[in-house]
Amino acid sequence: MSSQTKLFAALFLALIVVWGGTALYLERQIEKERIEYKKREDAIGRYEALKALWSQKAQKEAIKRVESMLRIYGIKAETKKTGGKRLYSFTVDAKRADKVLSKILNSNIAINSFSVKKVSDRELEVKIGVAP
Amino acid sequence: MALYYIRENGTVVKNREEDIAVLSPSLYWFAHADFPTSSLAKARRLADSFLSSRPSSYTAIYVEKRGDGFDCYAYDKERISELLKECGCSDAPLYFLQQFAEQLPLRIDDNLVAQTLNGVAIEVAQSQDGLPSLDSLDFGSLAKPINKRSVGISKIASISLLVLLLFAAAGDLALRYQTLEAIKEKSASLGGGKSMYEIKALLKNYKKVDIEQRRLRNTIKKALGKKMKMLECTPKKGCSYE
Repeated sequence: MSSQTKLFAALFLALIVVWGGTALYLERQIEKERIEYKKREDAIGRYEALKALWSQKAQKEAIKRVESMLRIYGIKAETKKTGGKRLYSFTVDAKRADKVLSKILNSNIAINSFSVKKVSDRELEVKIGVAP
Repeated sequence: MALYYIRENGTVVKNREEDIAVLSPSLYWFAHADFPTSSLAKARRLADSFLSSRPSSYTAIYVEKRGDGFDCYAYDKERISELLKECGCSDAPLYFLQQFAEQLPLRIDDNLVAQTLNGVAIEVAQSQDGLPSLDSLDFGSLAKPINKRSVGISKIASISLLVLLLFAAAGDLALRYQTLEAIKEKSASLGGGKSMYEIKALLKNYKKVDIEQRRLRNTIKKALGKKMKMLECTPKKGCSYE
């Protein structure tokens, strides 16, 4: 084999080694970035889902929905605001209590305190603290 | 297996372990030239005009580097092929006697001696004794036979291949780099430019609220199923009832 052929063979080999090495490095970086992207996408997906339930904006909307629900059921709720917290007090008919309370509990309002007191056989006094 | 000394007037055959053929000076035209180049390819082109006084049938040119110059040979390829076929040694490695000039003189047969005259190998008819025989030729010192090409590829082909490989490598790596950058960009645009640390911190806060609220609701639902006068619940303390 002539020295020229040896030189070209060495250059080919060097080029292939550099190419292969760089390609392997880039491939690993791509794989790493793909994993990072997937993780980020998952985290953002979960964050967005929880944000839709518990963000301040979502809480304001949830409170509005609960207030209108109470109005529909003809319940007059007293509202006390203390330091950004709201305390809703209302009396509910014992027959309707299950429905009204389950609607409140199935909503996404952030309940800070919850109390139910039996006023009479027919009525319950409900106090719900909400922290938007 | 034999050593064939190919001549116009009959081939001399000597026993040998492998087939080898040597051409008599009567079958080729030889000249040593100092061309103003070190390239064998250029020397080959120059040799064609340099050996212009050769017989017209000697169209095949063979050039090899020797010292600072080149040994140029011209021969009749077809005639030599015929002679090789006749002796049944077409596939044998073929050499010019001139290539063994340093090993001369030696005896070819009883009446023929190969020797050099001003560095050129010639045949002389004489019956002088005491010379080494033709089969004492050392082939190991020669680079290659004239009918076997050396392993290798031409300079232009090598450079072209190298450039092609370089472009292929550059293209491939550029595509991979673009893919990497595209993923990075796409990843950065997710979540309105928030860092992963910020997203994790926000997610942690919301998760805490979510778990707390679910737990509170489950406890309230369980407590409401029981008969009681009063029920009080907070996320931290849980429920107490009478």
